[in-house]
Amino acid sequence: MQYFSWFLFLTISVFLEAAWITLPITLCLLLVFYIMKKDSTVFFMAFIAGILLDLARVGSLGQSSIFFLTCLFIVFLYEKKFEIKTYAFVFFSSFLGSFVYLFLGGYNDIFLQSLVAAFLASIVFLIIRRFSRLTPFV
Amino acid sequence: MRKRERFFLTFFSFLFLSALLFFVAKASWFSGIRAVFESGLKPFQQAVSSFVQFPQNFSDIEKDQLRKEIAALQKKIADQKQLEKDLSALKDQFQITYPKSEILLPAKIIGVPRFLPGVSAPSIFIIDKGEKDGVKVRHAVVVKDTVVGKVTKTSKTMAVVTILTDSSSIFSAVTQSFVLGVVRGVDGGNIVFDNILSSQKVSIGEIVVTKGDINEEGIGYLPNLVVGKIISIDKTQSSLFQMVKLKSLLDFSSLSTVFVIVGYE
Repeated sequence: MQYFSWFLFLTISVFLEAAWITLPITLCLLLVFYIMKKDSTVFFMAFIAGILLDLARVGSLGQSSIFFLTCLFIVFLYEKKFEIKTYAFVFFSSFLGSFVYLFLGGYNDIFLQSLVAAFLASIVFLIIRRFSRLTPFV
Repeated sequence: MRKRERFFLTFFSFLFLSALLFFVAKASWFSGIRAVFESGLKPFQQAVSSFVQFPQNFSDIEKDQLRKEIAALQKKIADQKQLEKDLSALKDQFQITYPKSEILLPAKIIGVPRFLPGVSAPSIFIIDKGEKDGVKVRHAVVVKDTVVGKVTKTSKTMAVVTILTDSSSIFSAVTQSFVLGVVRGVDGGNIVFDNILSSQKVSIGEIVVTKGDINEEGIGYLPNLVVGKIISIDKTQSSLFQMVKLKSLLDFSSLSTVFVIVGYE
């Protein structure tokens, strides 16, 4: 049930990113999901989400997946060194990931967008943390 | 340790798959497979695009059935308005004699990603026509006789149009008084008419049109397509060039249908 709801949120974020908003919400969601669960299933989700995003944005297939997987892997490497289930880490990792993603994508207002994306990721992290005990959906 | 090994294995497996897909997707035979998946995604993209452009009001929560009926009627009204808008766009376009309607391909906008939807100026459109409809990279995109931008990426069933206000957009243009210059997009959705000598006379309100950059394949901007009108001129005594700002006659945020120029006669 939990994985299904995550897939649903990711699918919605992919379509929003393709049709409406340039904020890297898919990347931020993946980072939050991984930080919360530390589950290798998130790699599979990152792969699928990246493919869907590339299809919807007429991009080179596989490039978003490679980026998402690399970001998640870097977080995985830091797991042993830092406590990653904190707001500070969520904010910092989302900010850095978004910054590089937007820079490579050639978008405008990179700093501001990364800041907004990091705040959004922190809010999602807060919501998931609060509600994960109350419901099996997150 | 086993968990860590599993993580490494999962990561490298998917990374390898992604890299493989990245290289295989560049092959020409793969575009047909890609088109199948894109066709499956397109209806969802169109639905999301329509939904975010016409938000519905669900404030009435007292009567559940009445709320649903209102929502359904609002959707019908929104669809009706969209249809009227599309028909109006088609009718307007085909009343214009230049460019000729025979070389125009109508395309619906199915994606307008931007930083602050409704606030930021868009820099790209995703349209529902692609290579199988005859769209190629560098094809010009217009509404009536006004420039929207150029196609910069294509797949079999979709394409990306980079709007002329994007910083990567650059082409030559000329004013009504035959002053030649270069139109560039700048950050924030603005357009600058550059490389105008201070000695050359331009005036506010003057219309700027494309000079034309058709290549040997017949792809590019046709001449005399409207770029915009001059809204400000910044001349300094010591500077060789004057800074001229343009404003497009179109509101890119409100477009739903555009036309790709797929020919040159």
